[in-house]
Amino acid sequence: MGDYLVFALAGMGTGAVYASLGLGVVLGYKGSGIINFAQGAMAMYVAFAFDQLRRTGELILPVIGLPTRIGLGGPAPFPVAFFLALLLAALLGLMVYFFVFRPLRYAPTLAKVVASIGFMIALQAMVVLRFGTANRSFAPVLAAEPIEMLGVQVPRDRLTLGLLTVLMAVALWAFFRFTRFGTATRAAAENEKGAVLLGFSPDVLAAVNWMLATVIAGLAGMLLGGITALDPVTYTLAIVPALGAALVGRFNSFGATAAAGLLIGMGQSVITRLQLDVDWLPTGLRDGLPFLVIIVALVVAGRSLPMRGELSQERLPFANRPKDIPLYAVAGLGVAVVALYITEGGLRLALITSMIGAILCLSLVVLTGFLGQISLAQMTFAGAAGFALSAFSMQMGLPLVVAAPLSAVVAGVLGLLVGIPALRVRGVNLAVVTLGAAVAVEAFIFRNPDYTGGFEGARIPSPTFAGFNLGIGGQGGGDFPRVAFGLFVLTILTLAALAVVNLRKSATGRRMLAVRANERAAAAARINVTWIKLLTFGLASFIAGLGGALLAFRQGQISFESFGVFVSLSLLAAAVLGGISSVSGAIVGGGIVSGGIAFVALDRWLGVGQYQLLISGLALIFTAILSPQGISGAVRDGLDPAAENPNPRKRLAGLGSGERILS
Amino acid sequence: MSAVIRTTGLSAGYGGSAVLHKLDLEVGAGEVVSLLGPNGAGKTTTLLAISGILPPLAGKVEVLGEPVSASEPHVNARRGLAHVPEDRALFFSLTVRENIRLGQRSGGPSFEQLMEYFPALANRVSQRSGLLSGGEQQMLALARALAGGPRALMIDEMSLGLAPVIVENLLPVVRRIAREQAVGVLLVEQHVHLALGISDRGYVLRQGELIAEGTAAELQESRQLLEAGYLGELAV
Amino acid sequence: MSTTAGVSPDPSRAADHEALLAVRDLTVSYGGLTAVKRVSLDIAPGSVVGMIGPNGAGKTTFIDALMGYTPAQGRIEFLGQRIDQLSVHRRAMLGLTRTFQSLELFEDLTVRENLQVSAEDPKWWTIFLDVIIPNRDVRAPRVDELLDAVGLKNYEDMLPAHLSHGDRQAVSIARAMVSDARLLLLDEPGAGLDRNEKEGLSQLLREVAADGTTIFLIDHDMDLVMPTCDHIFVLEFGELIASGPPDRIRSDPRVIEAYLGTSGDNTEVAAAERAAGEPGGEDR
Repeated sequence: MGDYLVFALAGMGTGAVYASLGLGVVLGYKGSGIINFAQGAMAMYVAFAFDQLRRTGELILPVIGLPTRIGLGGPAPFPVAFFLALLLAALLGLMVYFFVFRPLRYAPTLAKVVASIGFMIALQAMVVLRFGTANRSFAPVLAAEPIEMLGVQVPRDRLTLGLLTVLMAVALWAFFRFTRFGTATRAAAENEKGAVLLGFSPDVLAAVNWMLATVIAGLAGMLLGGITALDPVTYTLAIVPALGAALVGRFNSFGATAAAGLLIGMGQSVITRLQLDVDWLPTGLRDGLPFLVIIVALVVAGRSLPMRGELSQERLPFANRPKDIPLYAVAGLGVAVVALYITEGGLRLALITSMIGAILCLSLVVLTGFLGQISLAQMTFAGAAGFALSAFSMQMGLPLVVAAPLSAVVAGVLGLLVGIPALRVRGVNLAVVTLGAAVAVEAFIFRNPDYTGGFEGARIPSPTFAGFNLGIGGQGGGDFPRVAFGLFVLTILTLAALAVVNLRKSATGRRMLAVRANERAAAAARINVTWIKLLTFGLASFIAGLGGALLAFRQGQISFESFGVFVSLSLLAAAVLGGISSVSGAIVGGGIVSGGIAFVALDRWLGVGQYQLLISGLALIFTAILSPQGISGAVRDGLDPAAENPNPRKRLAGLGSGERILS
Repeated sequence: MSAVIRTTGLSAGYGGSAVLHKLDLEVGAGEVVSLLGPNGAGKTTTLLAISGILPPLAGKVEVLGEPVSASEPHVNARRGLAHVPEDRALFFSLTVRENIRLGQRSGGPSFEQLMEYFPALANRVSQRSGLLSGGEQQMLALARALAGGPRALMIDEMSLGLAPVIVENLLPVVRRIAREQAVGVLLVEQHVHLALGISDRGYVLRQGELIAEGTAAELQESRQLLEAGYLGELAV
Repeated sequence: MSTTAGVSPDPSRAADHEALLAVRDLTVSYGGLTAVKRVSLDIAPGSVVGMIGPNGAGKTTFIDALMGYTPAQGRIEFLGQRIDQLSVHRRAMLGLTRTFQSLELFEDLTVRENLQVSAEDPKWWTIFLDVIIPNRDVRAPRVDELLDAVGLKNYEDMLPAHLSHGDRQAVSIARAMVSDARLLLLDEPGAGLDRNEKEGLSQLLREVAADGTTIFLIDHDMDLVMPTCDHIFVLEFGELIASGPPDRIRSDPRVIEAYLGTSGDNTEVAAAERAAGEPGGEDR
């Protein structure tokens, strides 16, 4: 029993970090209505910068264009490094608010989430570029010698961290309770118009809160670095338990957020110990715990984010009715077939990757573009299909024509399951759920060697159909990749694209868009909103499953790494960049997925391969701010200058028409 | 008497189409002015444009002699323009005292002075404002607006959802405030006679056009005109 | 206090058993506020019925409750069937639909598509046909007819955001009508329309009613309500304070008071109020 106590108390270290990240998320949301998915990445950057200062006395700047590093001439003593790192954190928070999130204050939720994700991707990529991917362990900050407590030996630093977290929560609570600034922040979060009419500038409130949030994140990062060695991915993904903690606190209560963060960390630690005693516990339980917390908080306890009384809201990008389809289809097919034949090797492989990417982007067009729901777990659905395909064909010996569609159906069913929370929550809440689901499925299923073969991965047979070899080739020499496989992928892409085009023109597509536009009015028009949402989740996941199955065929052997959270996020990046609301956008998106032709081409000619993640992160931010319709939308507007911008940016308009007083 | 609010040729609306056409309006210090008219006449739009929340389509707005910037509506409030919007924009999760504190600026009346205007609030200061009754909420909205010591006060549909007896009690307080604090008040109100009863002057809008203006007494006399505006020509 | 009796000493009372919509003791409260208090009324088929009242009287909340947008106590029968426990889209499927004060158009769909969505009633399996043969618009003639009727034929491919307010209002009304509902609940359809447009609207509503669709019209604009409606209910502070044909409503002192506030001459109104109140003791 004493063992468990030790583990629980030791878990206070990570718990404290979850708690502080959660506190920062709550601060940012209160101050600006934006959920900062990059809170973990910010903590990591500050922590690494702090470490670098102490090691070499160099200040590493995160901005392209500025000098990478400023030398201070020798390792900095702790207080100097600490102070400089916090200053850096505050500046980072300020800059990010003014350059990324302030322009998006009235943007639709999707744009905010996308920009937040973009920032997270970019910052993580920046850290990897500047500091490398290796684990870092810092010189400890807090005294670590064990002390005796409740009859067991506990490292002192964990207790100090736990205590600091509690103090931080109390200080924030008092600040928001008793100062004019804190009260004004609470007021503006509830009713921005009221705050403006009393003379408060929402910008100032938001900027200061962002600075505070970043400083807290940085503090957490520095302290954690002193306890365990950490790599960039771990830091960045600490946002998931932090979001869970913030949800328990309803994005409002500092006390509940801090307590939940601490408990999640301690719970994870206890689970680690528990697994030594109880061997049937699933291996992923530790990493799945935050998701369970999210689901319980959000869906069961109904703790969605409080609505903010914002001045106005812009709309999602418009989903154009496709025109001249036969023309585009024939021309596109012709180009693709010719390209498959004239390319070879790496370029042909990139082309095939792009086609698969386009299918995956199509699934997001249906879900996000048509229905307006956000998913950060699209590769999870693809992965489910991939592993299912392996099981169906290798273990059960089903033929391709049965196994492949069936595996996509598996993805569709998983999508339906994830869609159930979507009946209760929407917008950014749903983004949180799907992010948690992606992490949990990866932990519970994809990383479980019993299901997926672990690091070795699951093998996929080469596809054949009616005697034709549709495989990608390569085994035992020979042509790689084979054109036949490219044509196979192209056929599926064409069918999927036409189906989505048809969907947009059909009664079902109109119903999806009606639900996206206005759920209240949709119900009055006899639309069963629940059914349409589930249907769309299932359909989108089915399409993602098709992409996953093709990806499995392409690789011959798949492992969890192909379907991780970051792959989902970078897919969302490509889809949004290409154009989230149209089939042409998905095709463009396919071009820019990682490993797709645009990137291979850029890498060959410009050698920017290592900057791929950074570029997509930054591009995502710019897309969210400047061109919500993505590249394909921008091109469409460019080609047809007579067409009015269907998504005019309105400022403050629509406010105070006073029409909804009692409704 | 200098004007604390003045609009010249003000047109305003939503999505580029005007709801209010070329309005000239003036409110002097210590004066209570009613802005009347049926729904959709453009009264609320007028107030939003004066506040700077809604950028005007044409014309000019001056508050305390200075032009209004629509890009920074909060600056107006600091300068001494208080606006009680139709929905009152209270912070329901904050207490009565916190709501008022947020409104307070140096030079404004003290908390006690405010409680004297609205005694009903005095024993509810620690209550969350979301739990107040409709009448108390309206009092709080007024008290909060006054707390900054404004020179100009705009009140939109004070009577919305309130029983007439409460309105009858509140309006004289508005009159008293105007006199004692030397505030120019612009009052949008649907209870025409109650409003004119405490006003010095009034403007009548219909479909965004000014159809009448004059002293309160003059407008009271022309009851026909008002009823025409509200109930349609067939009415009387 | 029962407002039931007060509602209708008029023909619709006698026609109780064949009322299209029968509402009994409908009450809506949120927070400490009771927005609608024990309202009871009947709506006869084929009629145009109005509901007027000052801002904030609870008119929109009443419609919200009829459609199921807001939880309410009391009993609602439509076509002889209790509907007060049904979800919004189930009520809509029975033939009840509404427009919104803030229009709530499908901003992501073109004008024509706004109407199509409302006209169609696809089955669950339609999706499988839809991805193969999308353009099976069996209700197209009806959509065309309504686009013509409200003068939007030339705008059918535009997005609602690009229309004038009057045209947006027309889309909203046409969208409700195209579903061929039995009862249309119109929430301030006259808002933002000029006088000519209102006359057109009034005429259109009369025609629709003559074709058998019943209309329940909320507005506070007498120019529209008076000439259009057969029967008018007056709501103030969530309660029905008067009911009757337009002529009677127009001269009802309580109605005048609700609109203009206490009159300059209190005694006169009070007297008039008593005079009007006495004879129909059950009228109040």
